[in-house]
Amino acid sequence: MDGIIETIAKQTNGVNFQSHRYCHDTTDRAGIDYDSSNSVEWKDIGETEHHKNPIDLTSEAEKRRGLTSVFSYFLDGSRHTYKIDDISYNKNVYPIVAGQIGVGCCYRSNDLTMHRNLFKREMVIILPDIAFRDPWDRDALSMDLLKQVNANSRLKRFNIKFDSIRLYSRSDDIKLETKAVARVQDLMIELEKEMVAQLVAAGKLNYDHYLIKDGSLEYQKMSSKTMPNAKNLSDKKVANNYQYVIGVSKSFDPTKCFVKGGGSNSDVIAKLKPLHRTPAYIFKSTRSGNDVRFCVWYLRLRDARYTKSVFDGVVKIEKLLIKDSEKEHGLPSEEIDNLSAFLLNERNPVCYGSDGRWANHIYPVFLTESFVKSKYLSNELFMQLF
Amino acid sequence: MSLIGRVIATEKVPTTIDDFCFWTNKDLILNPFDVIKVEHIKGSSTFAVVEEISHITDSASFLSNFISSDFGDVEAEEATLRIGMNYVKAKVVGNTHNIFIPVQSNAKVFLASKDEVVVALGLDNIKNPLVCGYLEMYEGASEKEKITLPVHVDSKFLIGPEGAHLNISGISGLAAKTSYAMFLLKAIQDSCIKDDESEDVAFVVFNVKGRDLLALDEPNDFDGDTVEESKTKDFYSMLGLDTNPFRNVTYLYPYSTDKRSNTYADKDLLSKQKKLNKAYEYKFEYDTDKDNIDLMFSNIDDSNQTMESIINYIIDNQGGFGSVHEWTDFIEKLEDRCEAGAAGEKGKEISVLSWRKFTRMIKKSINNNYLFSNVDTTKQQVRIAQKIQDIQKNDVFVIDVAKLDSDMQAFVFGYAVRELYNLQLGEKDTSHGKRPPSRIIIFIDELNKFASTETPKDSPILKQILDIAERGRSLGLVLFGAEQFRSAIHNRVTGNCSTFAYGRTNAIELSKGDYKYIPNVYKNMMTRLKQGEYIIQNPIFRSLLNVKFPKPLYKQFK
Repeated sequence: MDGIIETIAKQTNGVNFQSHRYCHDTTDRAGIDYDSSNSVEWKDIGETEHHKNPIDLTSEAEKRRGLTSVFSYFLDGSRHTYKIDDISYNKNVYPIVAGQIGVGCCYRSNDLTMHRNLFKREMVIILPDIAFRDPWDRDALSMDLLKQVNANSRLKRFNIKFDSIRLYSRSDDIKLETKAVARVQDLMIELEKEMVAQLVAAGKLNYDHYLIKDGSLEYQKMSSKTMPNAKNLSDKKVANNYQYVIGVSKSFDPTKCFVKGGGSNSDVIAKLKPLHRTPAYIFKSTRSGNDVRFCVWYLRLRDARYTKSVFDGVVKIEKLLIKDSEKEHGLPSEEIDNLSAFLLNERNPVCYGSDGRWANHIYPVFLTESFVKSKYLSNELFMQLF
Repeated sequence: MSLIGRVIATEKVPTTIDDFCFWTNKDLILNPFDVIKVEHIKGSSTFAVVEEISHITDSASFLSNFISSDFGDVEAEEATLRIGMNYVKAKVVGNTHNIFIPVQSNAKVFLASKDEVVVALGLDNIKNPLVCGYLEMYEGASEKEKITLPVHVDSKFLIGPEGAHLNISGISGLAAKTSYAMFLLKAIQDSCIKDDESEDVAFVVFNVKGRDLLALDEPNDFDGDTVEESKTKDFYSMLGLDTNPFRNVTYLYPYSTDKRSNTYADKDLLSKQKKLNKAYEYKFEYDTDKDNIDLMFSNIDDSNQTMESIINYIIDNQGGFGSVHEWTDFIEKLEDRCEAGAAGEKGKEISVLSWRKFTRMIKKSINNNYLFSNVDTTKQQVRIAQKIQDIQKNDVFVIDVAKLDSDMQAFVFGYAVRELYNLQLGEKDTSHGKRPPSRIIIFIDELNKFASTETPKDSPILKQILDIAERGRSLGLVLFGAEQFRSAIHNRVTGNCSTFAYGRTNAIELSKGDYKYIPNVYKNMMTRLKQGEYIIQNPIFRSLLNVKFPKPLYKQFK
C-alpha cells in the first residue's frame, strides 16, 4: 500500500521527491511569531486613574498572599510543524508541511493543585493550493483526499487520524514554507478561541475565576475564506467571551513600544522596579479587526539583577476592552491593580532549569504547556507516518 | 482492588524482567514489602513487591526551589503546588501465566487482594506449613483494603531435614529476639502436639538473661490489660495456634546454697516448680563429668595445645588422676603438680608453668563452687547429662545459666550441647530404652559468646557448634541462635543456617559484607523495624518477607 505522500501525489497528480524530513521546532523557527513582531503604541491612557509613574504593587500583592487567586484557568496552545516532503505541480516545486496542534486548558483547584480541564489535539497536512487546480471545489477535494489519507494502514495500526487538509496560497512574496507553517498557527489560534468560547459556554469564567491565556490576545482577523467560522474579536459576541480573560506574554519586543508622538518607551520597562507595573494604555489593534482595543500594561515579576537581560522578568498583560465605556476611558485602575497583584503572587514557583524563559513564565501556564506537550506524538513517530 | 497507578517505561528507565517503576498519587501510602498487581499481556497479572518509593517534582535543581522562594525568602509562598508525584520501584515476583517479559508502559497497577498476595509471595503451596508470623499490608490504605495474613514456612526447611538452623539478629531490647524465638518454638510445639504424624521435636532452651525464660509454662498476665490480652490471643487464634503457654517444661537451675544463689529465680518460684516436679538443680560430678573440663578453656588461646595435653593426661587417668573421685581431690592433685620439680615421670613434657596456669584456671571455676559436688537425688538434684537422656517428644528443657559467670555459662552450654550431640549420635543410652526425639532444637541467645568470629579456632565449644551447624541437620539437632550482630558470628555457622530473621539493627552493622546481597531498601528498613517486626529470609520464599508476631503468652518478668 502507498504511503501518505504517495497517496497525496497520486490524488493530486503531483510528483513527490522524498526530500529530507525535519521538524521546524528543532531545526529552525520558521513561521510568524505574533507576540514579538508587532509595534505597540502607547497612545491613550487605558485606566481610570492617570498615573504618570510606575505603580508599586508590593503591598497589594502582600495583602493577597494566601487568598484564593482569581486566576483559576490557564490556557495554552502549541504546535509542532514538520516539513514532510516537496511536491511538484506544473513544473514548480512546493513544500508539504504537516503539523500537530495541541490546545489545553488546566484548572487550579483551591488546594493549589492543577487538573486537566479541556484538551484538543489536531493533526493537519498543509498543501499548496495548486494541489487542487480547480479553485471552486477545493474544500470537497480536500475532504476526499483526507479520507484516502486516513485509510492508510500505518495510520490505522497506530490508531491515528488526520483531522484536516488545508491549503496555503501561493500569492505574496513570503517563503512558501513559512506560509504553510502560518496556516498551522492560524488553526491553533482558532482552536484556542474555540476553547475560550467553550469555557464561557460552560459558565466556568467569572469574576472569581479568570483565565490566563499564554501569549497575546491580539489575534489576526481571519477571512471566512481561509478559516470558515472564524471567531474574530471584532465580532461583539466573540469579544464578550473575553471579559474574564487576560493574555500574558512572556516575550515582546520592547523597542516597539512607542510613546504617543513617536519614540521608543523601552526605557520605562527597563527601569521598572520589581513588583511594579507600568500605567496601562489603550492599544488599538489594526490586525484584529475594526475597533478592537486592548488595555495593555507591563508588570515586573522579578528583580532584573537575577536575570539575563533587563527585560527578563517583565510580562506584558493584555485585556480586551469590550464595553464602550472601557474603550473610551480604559479599565478601572483597581481592577488592573487587583489582577496585577494576583499575578505577582504567581511569580513562585519558577521553572528555572526546565525552561530558559523561567523569569517570565507563570508556573501554572508552564504546567499547562507541559501537559499539552506531553500529549504530542513523538517527532520521530510523526515523521515516519508519511 | 483499587487502581493506584500506571507503569512507567522510559528510554533511561525501562521495565525489565526483574523490576519496573510505576507512578502513584503522592499521598498514597505504600510501604516496602507491599505486593502490587499489574495487568499484563494475555490476560495475565504480574505480581511485584514494592522496593523503593521516591517523590519527584518538575524542579530541575535545588536552585529552582531556592529561586521559587523569592531567592531565599523563607516566608515566600507558592501560588500553585509544584507538580509532583511518587514513583515506586517494584521487584517482579511472579506472573499468573508465568509470563516474564517486562510489563508494558502505562499498564494499570492495582493493590492486590489477600488471595493474590498469598500467590504472589509463593505462600499458597507450602508443604508442612509452620506459622512463622503474620504480615500486614497496605497499612496506609482504607480499612477494607488492609491485609493481614499468616505466613508459613515449610517446617522441613526450618528444622530439617531439607534445611535447618535459624539465626536471629537484632539490637538488644529493640528486636525482641528471645520473644521471636519463643514464638517459633511455641508454633513448633503446637503443631507437634496437634499432629501426631509430624516430627518428634523436643526443645532445649538456655536462659541467659534474668528470669526471662523461667516461667515458660505460666500464662502472661499482660499486667491486667485485658484488651491487650484478648488482642494477642486473637492473633494467636488467627495464626492457628492455641492460646496456652508452653507445655511439658522442665527447668534446670544451677545448684544454689542458702548462702549463695546461682539463679535469678526467686525462692517462691523455685520451690513451686520443685513441688510440681518441674524444676531440678544441676551439678557436675567428677567421675562422670571430668571429661568435659576442656570446655572451661573455650576462650583460651591454646595454640601450643598445652592445656589440651593436660586435659588428655587427666582424662586418661595418668599420673595418679585415676584415683581421684572428688573435685576437691582433683584440685589437690593439681596443686601437687604445681610444686617445683613435681612434673616428673610422663608428665615431663608438660612444664610446671603449664600445670600452674591450668590449675589457676580450674580453681577459678571450680574452687568453692557448689555446682561441682556430688548429686543428692533426694533433693531434686541432677546432672544435666542425666536429664538430657530422658528428653522426650514435646519436652522443653530450660537450662538457667543467667547468673553464672561467662566461663561457667560457656561450660554449661558446651556441656549440654555435647551431651545432646552424643545423644543424637546414638552414643548415649536413653533411660527406660525410650528413643530420643527425632529433632531437638537448641535455643541460645548471645550466640556470639560461643561462636563469634573472634572465638579461638580450637575452642571446644566452637567445634561443637560447628559440628551441629554442619551435621546437625541430618542428626536431628537444630540450632536457633540469636545475637546482636550477625556479622560477629562465625561464617561457618551462619553459612549453614537455612533461615534468617533480621530484627532492628544499625547502619554500621548493615555496612558489613554479610548484608551485601540484601537490597538497600530492605537494609534501610532494618534500621527502622519496630519491636515485634522481622525480615525473614528462607529458601522457600520468593523474596524477603516483613513479618510480625504477637506478644508472648508465657509469663513476663519485669
